[in-house]
Parts: sequence; C-alpha cells; structure tokens
Amino acid sequence: MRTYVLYGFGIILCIAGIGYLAAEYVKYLSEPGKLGALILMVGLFALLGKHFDVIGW
Amino acid sequence: MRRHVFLYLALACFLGIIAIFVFDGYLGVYDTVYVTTGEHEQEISPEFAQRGENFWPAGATWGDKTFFRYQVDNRRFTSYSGSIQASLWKENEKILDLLTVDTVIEPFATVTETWSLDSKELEAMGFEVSQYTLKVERDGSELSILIHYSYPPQPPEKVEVR
Repeated sequence: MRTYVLYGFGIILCIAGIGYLAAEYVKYLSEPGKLGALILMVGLFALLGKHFDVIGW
Repeated sequence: MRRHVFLYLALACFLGIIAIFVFDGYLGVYDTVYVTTGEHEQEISPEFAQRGENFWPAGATWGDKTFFRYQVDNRRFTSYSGSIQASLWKENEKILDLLTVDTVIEPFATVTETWSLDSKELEAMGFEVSQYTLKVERDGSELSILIHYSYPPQPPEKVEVR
C-alpha cells in the first residue's frame, strides 16, 4: 500500500513538473503556435484513449 | 502493427507538439544590441527583453565615445518593414536623437545599424557626469540602456625620491 502511495506522489510530481515547464514555454509561443499545440494535444489524448480502448483496457 | 496504430498516431501528435515548440520559438523578429564602452563589448540578447526586463545597465567613462550596434534578425517567411529609433533621455526628457531609419528586411535576413554616443557632445550641450537612458525603439518593442558615466581614473601623483 505504502508503495502505491509513493507511486502516486511520484506521478503527481511528474505531472506538476511537466505542467509547469509547459506553462513556461507556452508564454513564448505565438497565437497560431498555441492553437496548433492545443489541437495536437487534444488529438494526443483522444488517440491514447482510443488505443487503450482497442487493446481492451 | 494495426493494433498499435492509435498509439503511433498519439506519438506523432506528441512529436508535432515538440516540433511546434522548437519551430515557433525560432520564428519571429529578434533584436540584439551590442554596446562597446572602452574596449569592452556587451551583448544584450533577445532573451533579455523576452524575460520582461528592459533596463540594461552599462558603465562608461566621461570623455569617451560609446558605440552601439543594433542587429534585427527577421526569421519569418514574410519581409519586415518598420522604423528603428535610438534616442538619449535624461529625467524623462529626450535630449538627443541618435538614429532614425526606416528599414525593410527580407525573410530570414539580418540588418545591422550602428551609431555612437560621444560624451564630449553632451558636455558641449551643458550636461554633466550622470546617468542617461538610451532608448532603442522598433515598432512596439523598446529597450532601454542605462548609461552610468564616471570620471576617468586619475594618473598617480609623482613622488620625488631623494
């Protein structure tokens, strides 16, 4: 159980770190760049969801 | 292969996001200023203005000339046209126009403008050793260089040895 709590902390810290870095980088992107990155990110999550659906998760 | 096709597409989206970050960061109009006082050259990179800071401190000796080189890098697919102005300010008042040019820069080309500031000219205008602000303006972007003048070092006094 304790191991899973530590995994949880690790995952949360990773997501927070990546989110922070992304937010810092996004500041310097142009408006079309922001839009392109947003569209690709939506596609990324949709395709990942579809992938897990296909493999039977 | 077919089973993982959505995973590969998701990976392609991820690589696309990274490519946008790199490519978008490279594209744009970037200006770099080089300030030479004495024999020392300082580079004010475009990242300095991007960080939101717009006051660059520079020291100079009263009586010397300060040289400036302003480089505009047009990293876009269209040409850039605009005016570049450099002026000297003291206590929120413009005292000297140093440069005013209209420029057209071809795509992925660089234009360099140079000018100098002679402190003897300031002295002739009745100004003294103090701090002055040099503003470099280009269509919405502005960079200020704070020039702090100081007296030249005095030569050591001669001591007679008997």
